[in-house]
Amino acid sequence: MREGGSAQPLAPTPRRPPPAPRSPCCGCCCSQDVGRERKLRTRDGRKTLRRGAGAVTSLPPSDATTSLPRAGGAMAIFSVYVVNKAGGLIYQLDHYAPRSDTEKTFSYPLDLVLRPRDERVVVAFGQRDGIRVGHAVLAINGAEVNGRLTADGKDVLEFLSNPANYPVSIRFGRHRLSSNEKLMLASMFHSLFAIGSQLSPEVGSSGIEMLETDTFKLHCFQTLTGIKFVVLADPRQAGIDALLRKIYEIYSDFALKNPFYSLEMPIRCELFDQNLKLALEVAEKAGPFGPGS
Amino acid sequence: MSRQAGRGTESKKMNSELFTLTYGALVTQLCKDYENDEDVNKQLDKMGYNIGVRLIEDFLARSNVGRCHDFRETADVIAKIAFKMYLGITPSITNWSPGGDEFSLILENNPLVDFVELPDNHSSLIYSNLLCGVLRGALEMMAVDVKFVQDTLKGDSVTEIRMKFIRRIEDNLPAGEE
Repeated sequence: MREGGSAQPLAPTPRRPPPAPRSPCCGCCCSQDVGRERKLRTRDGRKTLRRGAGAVTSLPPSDATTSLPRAGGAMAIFSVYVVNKAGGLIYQLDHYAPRSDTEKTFSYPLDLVLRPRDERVVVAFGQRDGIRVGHAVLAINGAEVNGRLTADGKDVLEFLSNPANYPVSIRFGRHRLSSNEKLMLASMFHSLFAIGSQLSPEVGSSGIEMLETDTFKLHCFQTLTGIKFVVLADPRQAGIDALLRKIYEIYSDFALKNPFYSLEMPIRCELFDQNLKLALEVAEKAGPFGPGS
Repeated sequence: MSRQAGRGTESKKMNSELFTLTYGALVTQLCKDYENDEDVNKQLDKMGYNIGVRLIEDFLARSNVGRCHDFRETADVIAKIAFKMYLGITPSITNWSPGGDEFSLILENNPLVDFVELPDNHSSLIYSNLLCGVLRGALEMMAVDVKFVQDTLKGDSVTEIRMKFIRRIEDNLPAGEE
């Protein structure tokens, strides 16, 4: 069943704004969670990259997250978001991103059909060997592309239609969210969270506590003061509630007790980063049974 | 005084004399800077407010208390949990107003004023005004009036803080709550 679009997983092309919720739900969530507004199940209607499927070569991404495939059964916490009272994103960490980029060398003519979409060049036809429809061109000859332009400033499609530029090595992959997109998604989630508590038939309901898809679970904890801690993790990962409380403690220690940090502003505290990463690693090691202590 | 994450379960204790000295140095420096007792009181209140808005998160993160449903619960949490956690004392709650919106906290001993005597030229200085600011800041989602009505430094037998609930501040409530 297709979900009407009132809650979407956090990864698809964010440039097109999600459609406003036309109908309350499609029946796939209500029938299972009668009266409990907290859990929203979303079915990802689009094909998104499944972890491990068709990855030919995995290149380390340019940012610092680990992208090596995990041993079978190991859990992962994908990312952490902290949203302030007004809905602005004040902290974001991508801890683990299951990237399967594919880099291949091509000769003229290119057997893939590329098309511009939004501000990227994406594969429209010619899926093979790990290069899927919808993947964006991430780098040409090792140099990252900048939207629709190469690193040198030339238009990507023009560059690739010129036989003189071949053979060329192109890296395809699922595009990463830019920080603006993350900001937008965080504020959208903030609004949905508020809607969640208002939709409730009971008085004094909490907002959205968990959002579940087939590839990840989003857990959200709102403090009594309005700060939201959002963790995206593997669906089998347990102990996220304890992790959220731990992140709250780390926030109250290393962000708030730093006198140079102003409230509700983006968190740029080294100690906060370090301790958060430590806490995530402890939670991940605990696996599906939750942390030992 | 505060537990640091990652340092094991041993809580780091600090000498309370150092705390008294630090607070005393703060107040005397403010007196030198402002020269006017009223200004010093205002500054202490402001500083306390900034401490309060941060302290409340630490308190909520560590104590796991839920939302208070009325002002009486708030008073209980303040006196029995918060004061105990941060100053090690448990004030008593008395003098409830008929409407239930005002009460007094009676502190037998105030750790901030160990060894302190107020001189005559600072008779209108409220030495522990920081505490009023902290309480105001911690309760930032409602407007409360917090003031000292008795002070051992001024010759009274106990220290009494009077707290009055004025109204909820709707703007400060988290989104989605009524």
